[in-house]
Amino acid sequence: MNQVYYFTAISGIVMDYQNMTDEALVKLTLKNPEMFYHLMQRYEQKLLRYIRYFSSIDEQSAEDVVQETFLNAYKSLNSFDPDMKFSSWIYRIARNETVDFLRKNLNKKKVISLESNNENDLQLIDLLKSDVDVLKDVKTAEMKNKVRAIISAMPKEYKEVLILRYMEEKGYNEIGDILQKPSGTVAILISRAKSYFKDVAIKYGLDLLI
Amino acid sequence: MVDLSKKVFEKIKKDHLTPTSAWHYVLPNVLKWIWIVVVVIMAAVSTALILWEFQLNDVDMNRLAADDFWEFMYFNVPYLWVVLLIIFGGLAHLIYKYTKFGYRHCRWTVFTVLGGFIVLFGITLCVSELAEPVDSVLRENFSMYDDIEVEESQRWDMPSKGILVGSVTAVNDKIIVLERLNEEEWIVDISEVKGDREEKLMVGAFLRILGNQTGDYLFKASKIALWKRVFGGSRQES
Repeated sequence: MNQVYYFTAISGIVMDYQNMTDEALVKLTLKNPEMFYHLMQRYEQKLLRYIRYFSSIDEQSAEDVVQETFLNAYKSLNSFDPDMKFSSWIYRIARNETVDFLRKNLNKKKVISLESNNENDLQLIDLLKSDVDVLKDVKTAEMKNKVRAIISAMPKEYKEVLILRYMEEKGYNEIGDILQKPSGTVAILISRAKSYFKDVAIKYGLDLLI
Repeated sequence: MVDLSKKVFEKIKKDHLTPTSAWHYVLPNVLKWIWIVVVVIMAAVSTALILWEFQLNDVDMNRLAADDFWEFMYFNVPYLWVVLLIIFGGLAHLIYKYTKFGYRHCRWTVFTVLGGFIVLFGITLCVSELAEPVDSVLRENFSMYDDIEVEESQRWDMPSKGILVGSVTAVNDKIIVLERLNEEEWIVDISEVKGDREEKLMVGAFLRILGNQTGDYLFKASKIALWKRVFGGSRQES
């Protein structure tokens, strides 16, 4: 078994961080700040990916945003309420930090072209294919470009819910907690985003299953 | 690849950063809930006063007294309390949306639950006969509120148009002596007034009377209704 376990003795008890829930680690962090390192490690790559998908900012900027996210999360750790998932909480902070970053850098050329964010959009295309029932096959370069263009041109709120639902695999309630919207609204947004995708795909002349 | 977690962790250690105190987050949420309770109570009191005023309202008399539809509405709707109910209800809704998990419920759910609670609470206050004491307390302590009530009463005090308002100072089977808002005493013939008269025809009762002016300080009543209150002592003394 290649799984790596982290063991530390706190108050004479041997702790297995790998199998601990995020919420348990938060409690431990409030007693011992070093525990926060394990939480950050769990979310570092996830948040980097999410921020890049969501905002299409360059890698360096995304790293800066993740650092700010972790620092803010640590400082406001006491505001975390176990009534929601830790992952939803930290994604919310990451989202707010990203929006803040985008607002501050609106006129600076730190945001890269959406079309150049190939890997991210292609992954979303693959995930959408399985759910949207629109595309027979997206294999040719031309089709990929068309689908990528559709996703890039999507209203931000649609793109955001699709990313959270299909790439981050969040449930409606979790997305609601991240976006601070009722889960019913999230369901409507996802449905509209998929309809939008279908409609635009038809306009682009993509092969349909219908 | 940069180990961001390590970088952040070192910064936390280097700058001796610590999580902000829990009170910093708990207190605003507690204060928001206190505000919600306060404005919900205010909204329920407004509802109770609306219901109480409706109970004392006489639509037929208002129809006879009103010159047009808008005046009829003005006589029927306790607009001050309706406006206050909308303000307090709206505030409760708004503050709730900004509580910790207020975003989880859709607008209509919050509206229905809060609205339902306010109405039920208001009905309870009205049934418990708490609306009238609240009205009295407000009149005694807020001259502005009393002025609005007086102004409303004055719209009814036009003997030449066949409407009279005032408090009963003396009564017998056929006539009452009515003291108007301007402290003039009028003799009102009530011989042709039908219906339940007992509660209305008591010394101290504040009445709205429909009928005709028959002479100087003389009035013949065709219909009598209780006005929602008796004016406070301070106003009568003035």
